[in-house]
Amino acid sequence: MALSASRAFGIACPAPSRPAARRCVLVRATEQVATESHSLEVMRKFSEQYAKRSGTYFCVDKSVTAVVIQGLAEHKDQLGAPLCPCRHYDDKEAEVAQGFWNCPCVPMRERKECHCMLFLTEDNDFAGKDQDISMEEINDGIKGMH
Amino acid sequence: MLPIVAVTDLTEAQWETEVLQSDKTVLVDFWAPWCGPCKLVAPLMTWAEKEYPDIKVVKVEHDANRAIVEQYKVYGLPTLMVFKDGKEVEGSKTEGAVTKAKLADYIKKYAAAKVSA
Repeated sequence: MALSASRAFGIACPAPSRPAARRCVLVRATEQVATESHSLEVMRKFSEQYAKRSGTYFCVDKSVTAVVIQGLAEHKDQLGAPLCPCRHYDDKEAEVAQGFWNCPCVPMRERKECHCMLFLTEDNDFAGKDQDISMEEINDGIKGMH
Repeated sequence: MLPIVAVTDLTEAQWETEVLQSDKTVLVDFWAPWCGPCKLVAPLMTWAEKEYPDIKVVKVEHDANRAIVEQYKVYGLPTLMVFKDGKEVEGSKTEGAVTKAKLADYIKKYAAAKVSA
């Protein structure tokens, strides 16, 4: 599992200065979600580099980009290659060995067709103007998803 | 009693009763957890269910329902399909994200559904 999270909360109830008054302070430590798995960072960097190299852009809704990058990272961790996360496969291992759908997939390499909406040509209605995505943006984009 | 809407985690047993035996025309959304366009389309399914009360909307996660996915040869995700009287409406299988306007056209064409008053 690529994700792990840690949170810490503390409750401090200082001794009251006056017997009648008692105040408790809820101390919330900063929530750190350690999603920087090696594969996630690798796929983030790859996505930026490949967008620039191919002259394509990320989706105007960066959560779409984030979700796909997370999917690629998971497949890389599970299968050893970033198999496209927007497809059903009868046999994932066989598909990885065959290579057609390993990102960047053949339709993307040959025709700049990315049905995951990770790499969008300028004329695509959903294309934004960015070719960069930070780890923070990825974390925000995948928040709340299993 | 509220109708079943946007059923997620549909099992194969539910497929038979909820889709094939449904009195209503059914819009099916095949999806995967880390599929970006599937995430884009998800709120449109909720919208469609409210906008078109004559249809039922159902979501099918691909890995949990391999037999269904393989039976209907669903590969690209998301895939939308319309079922009526237990059968796939011919030509309704469509891959990829859609805008709300395109979804409205799609529903009008394949589900012949009317917008709620």
